[in-house]
Amino acid sequence: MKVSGSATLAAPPEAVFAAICDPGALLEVIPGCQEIHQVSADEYRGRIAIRLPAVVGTYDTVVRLVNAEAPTSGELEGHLVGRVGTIGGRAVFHLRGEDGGTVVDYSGTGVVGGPLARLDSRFLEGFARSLVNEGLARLGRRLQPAAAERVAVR
Amino acid sequence: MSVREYLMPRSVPEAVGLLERHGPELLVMAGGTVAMPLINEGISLPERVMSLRHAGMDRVERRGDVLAIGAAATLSRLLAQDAVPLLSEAARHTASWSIRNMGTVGGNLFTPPPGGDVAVALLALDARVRLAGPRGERDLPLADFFTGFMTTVLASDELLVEITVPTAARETAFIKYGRKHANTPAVVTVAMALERRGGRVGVARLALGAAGPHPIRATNAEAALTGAILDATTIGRAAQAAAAECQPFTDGIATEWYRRRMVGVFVRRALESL
Repeated sequence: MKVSGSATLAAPPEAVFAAICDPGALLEVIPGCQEIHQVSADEYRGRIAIRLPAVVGTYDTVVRLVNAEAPTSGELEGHLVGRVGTIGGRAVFHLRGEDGGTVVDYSGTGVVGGPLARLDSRFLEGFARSLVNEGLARLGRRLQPAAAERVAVR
Repeated sequence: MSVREYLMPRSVPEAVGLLERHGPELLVMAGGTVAMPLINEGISLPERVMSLRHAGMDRVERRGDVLAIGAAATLSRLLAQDAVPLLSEAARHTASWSIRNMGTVGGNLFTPPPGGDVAVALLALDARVRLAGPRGERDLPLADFFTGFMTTVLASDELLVEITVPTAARETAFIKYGRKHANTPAVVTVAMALERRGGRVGVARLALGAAGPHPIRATNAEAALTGAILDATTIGRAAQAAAAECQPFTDGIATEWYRRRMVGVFVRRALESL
């Protein structure tokens, strides 16, 4: 499973990077995130609810921020464990300032295990894309509520 | 298998009551062509399943100036009707005979892209959806129904009951471009409905499938058509607008880049066929 894309947020790279490292911000911006705790300088644990029709469930989640070069780049490594399978993944992101805002370029791969791996890829990849797009849109709204309409996700 | 109870309501009010009683954990199933494989593979683990097969939602009938399609009407039944030819055409290009005998029109609205070809045609035809819940019924344009990838305005205690489509004659076109001729997921799907007044386009509806997180209307392309004479310049402008405004994606069938190019190509071909 691969997901990549780009988004423009109406806040400087420093603010975007700080939000990515803030559990409070992550709780707000990750769709379905029910709880998240920072357990070390670069590791977070939490629970995410997936509400795809017919594939409803909660996933215990571990996320690590590695190779961080604030405020320009980093990698997120994650592992989700649920009742019907596991999802492990790694995503690289690059932030660059542009016209007072930030362009976020990201690309990631995921490996799905258990019965969930038998799910048609159109469900999984579409769902992953929608999670990232919704998460980035929420991040944009959190960083600059007044300029929410300027957030462009593609 | 996790299913411990299989509920089979005999009416819409009974189905709504069961949904209210058991909450969002109740898996609502119409044809079962999407849900049953998920259950059999152990991906979906519902304890209760409600079938809509016998809830009186399977009719396709003319009602005044609309075609009323029960949400649990099969795609085969939609194919057999002749009141709205575009819908027969769309049903013919959806899945295979065996799937069409099971799969429903309502279920097609919940199918993730690149599926959901009938939904694309319905969108081009200004279809409306009727939803029923414990607080009563509401009726809204299909264009306002979709909110994102496999998400809709449907509340967790509501059911999609019926889809209505105006039967007024319009010039229509439907093109599904896939890797195979039949029983294939779409690279792109284009549905078009158009009305001309005095040689110019009065009303234009252009819907696209596999070009966004759900079936979408290409409103910029529609605007480029409205009020214009349908000549090569207008067609080129509309095709360009549709390619620019769509939100395609990369999957095992095609890349985002290719889908965007094909939206332009097949919008042009659809318009040239009118």
